[in-house]
Amino acid sequence: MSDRETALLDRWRCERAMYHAWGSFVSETIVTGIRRVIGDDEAKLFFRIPVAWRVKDEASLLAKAFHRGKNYTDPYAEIEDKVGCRVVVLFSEEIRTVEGVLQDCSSWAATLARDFEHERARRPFEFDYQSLHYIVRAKVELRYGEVDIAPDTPCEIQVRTLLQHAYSELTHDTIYKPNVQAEPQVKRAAAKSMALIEATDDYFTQVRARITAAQAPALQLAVTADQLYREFTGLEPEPSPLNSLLIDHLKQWVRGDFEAELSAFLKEKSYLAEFIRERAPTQLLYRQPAIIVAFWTISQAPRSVPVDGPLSDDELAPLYSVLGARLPDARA
Amino acid sequence: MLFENLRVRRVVVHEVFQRSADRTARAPAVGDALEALSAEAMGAFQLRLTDALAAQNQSLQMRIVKHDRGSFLDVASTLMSSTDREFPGTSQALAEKLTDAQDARRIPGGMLVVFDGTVGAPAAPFVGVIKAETQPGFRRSQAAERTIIEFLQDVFLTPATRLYKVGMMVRHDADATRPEGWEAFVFDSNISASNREAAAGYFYGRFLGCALPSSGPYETAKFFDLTKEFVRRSALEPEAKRDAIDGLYSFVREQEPTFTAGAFAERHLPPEVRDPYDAYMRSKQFTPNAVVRDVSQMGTRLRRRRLKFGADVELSASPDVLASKVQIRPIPGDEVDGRPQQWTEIIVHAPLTGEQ
Repeated sequence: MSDRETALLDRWRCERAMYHAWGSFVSETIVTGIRRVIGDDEAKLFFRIPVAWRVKDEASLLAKAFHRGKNYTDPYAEIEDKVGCRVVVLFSEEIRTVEGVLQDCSSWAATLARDFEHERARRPFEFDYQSLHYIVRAKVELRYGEVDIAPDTPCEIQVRTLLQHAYSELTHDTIYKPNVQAEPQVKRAAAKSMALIEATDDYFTQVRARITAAQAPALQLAVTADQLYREFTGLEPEPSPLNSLLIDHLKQWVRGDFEAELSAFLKEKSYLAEFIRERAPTQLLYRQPAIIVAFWTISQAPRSVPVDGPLSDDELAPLYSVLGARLPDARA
Repeated sequence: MLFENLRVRRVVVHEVFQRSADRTARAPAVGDALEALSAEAMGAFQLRLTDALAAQNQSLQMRIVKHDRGSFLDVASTLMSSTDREFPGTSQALAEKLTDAQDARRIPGGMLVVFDGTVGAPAAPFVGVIKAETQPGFRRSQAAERTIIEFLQDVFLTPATRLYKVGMMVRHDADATRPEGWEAFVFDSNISASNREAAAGYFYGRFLGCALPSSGPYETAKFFDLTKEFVRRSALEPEAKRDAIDGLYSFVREQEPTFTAGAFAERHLPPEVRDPYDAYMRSKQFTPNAVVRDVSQMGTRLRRRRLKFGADVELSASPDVLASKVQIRPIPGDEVDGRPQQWTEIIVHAPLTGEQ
């Protein structure tokens, strides 16, 4: 090992713990930032692979510093991915959500290092590795855990979709490393898969848009039901999967002026509040916000509501009964 | 009336017996304490009531004709203001009254449940009775290590509605002079049977002091007009409309003494318009309860039907002839300006006999 290699490794061994702490801090900050932007529930589904960081192992640090023809003047300082962090999402649009969080963080200065959309624009005929890379550097010295992190410590963040990640896992250690010069057929096959991945991402985005549009009425209904349930009964609802099943079933009777109609209905049938309160402590059904929508739809469409719905006759009968109606015998 | 927000407060159970062979009455076995029903049992009891009273052919609003001292209404009125301690004793008068009313040997005995509570929004007080015949049944239960089957002789108030009758008197105005301010409702599966007077009369007549309502002719005509209007304005295809109207003409002239708008919908309207039909009838304040079928005041409405084809062709016939001797069906016609036309084929099972 040459002196320059020994010197670099000595420094690295001293500072590795600091880089490790910095990577941990950056990962944690990204996760918290995303939670703040899209909410805790959504955030659970957002990260398709847990956000992880790694510090470079010694061999690849040395290789990158001295043996890959990079011509660094100060390799240690110029290698910015001594610690790296990876964020994997499902849709390419979500990459920009992460980007927003990176740019908005007050603990670091973020610099764009690589943007696949810029690369697409520059080389529209190429289908190659795609990822969004940022370098974030600590603005001031900060302490994380037991470790002091020096100002200007860099961390590389790679943000990509699950599909882009798959491509990178497939190719990264093979066709991009100089030691293996891939055959043209291999490169062609890789380019074809990347083209396919980009097209797939377009379809994914369309599918998501359609699903979102299809779910919009149910979501709106669930929000309305939740709010009116609280106002009407004074109870804290406990939505379970039963609530979603009810909402999905009952939404077919919801019309444009539904909210006003439901409010007027509840005002007229104010006795239902007591009926719900009496049963809520012992029966899950009456803790579902959708129960008030069920009452309204039963009053509107008594014959059709039971058909293909999630509730059994035993559960439906009391709802009909308190409204002075009778559960229809025959299911159409 | 809509039996919504029904809350039963106090319940007493008595038992009345069939007359003996020489038609002498046997005194009822009276209950002397309020029943303590569990929430679940109370739920099932209230369900039986609304099941019976809601929108059934056999559930009718009645005219209260007896309201003198000792009448059902008189006792009901006393019960309503009685204390919990007085309630069972006062209600025994009703067990005696039913025993007297059951003057034929073929009338079975049964449980007489007397109860009060409130119903409607705003809530109005009521007093109700159920006469429930008992029936035998089995019950499977776990005793120590093994399951055993028990045979029970006297189960009552199962969902079999033919085995119970309900009478209910609701007070809407405490200040009016009786029977004003009160409404009476009866559910009795025998009411719709053709021998209704004989089978049901003892319960709603002699026991409850009620008579069949006199609004039948008016309500029947109103039902007919509203239903025809609904069908005419509906989005149904012309053939489906004709089927529905055909059904309406035969429905109002059926033999069953009572009907509900809901029963018409079940039998003569396509499923997709039944709920809208209910809503329409509700919006026109047509009663959800049963109506006494009476076409005596429908005038010329049932005599002739006029069907219109296109702008200028009419066919007129009596409903019976239209149903039995005229066949009408749509057929594809010649195209006009490249668009297919629909024609109608009419076959009359009779020769042309003249022109008016």
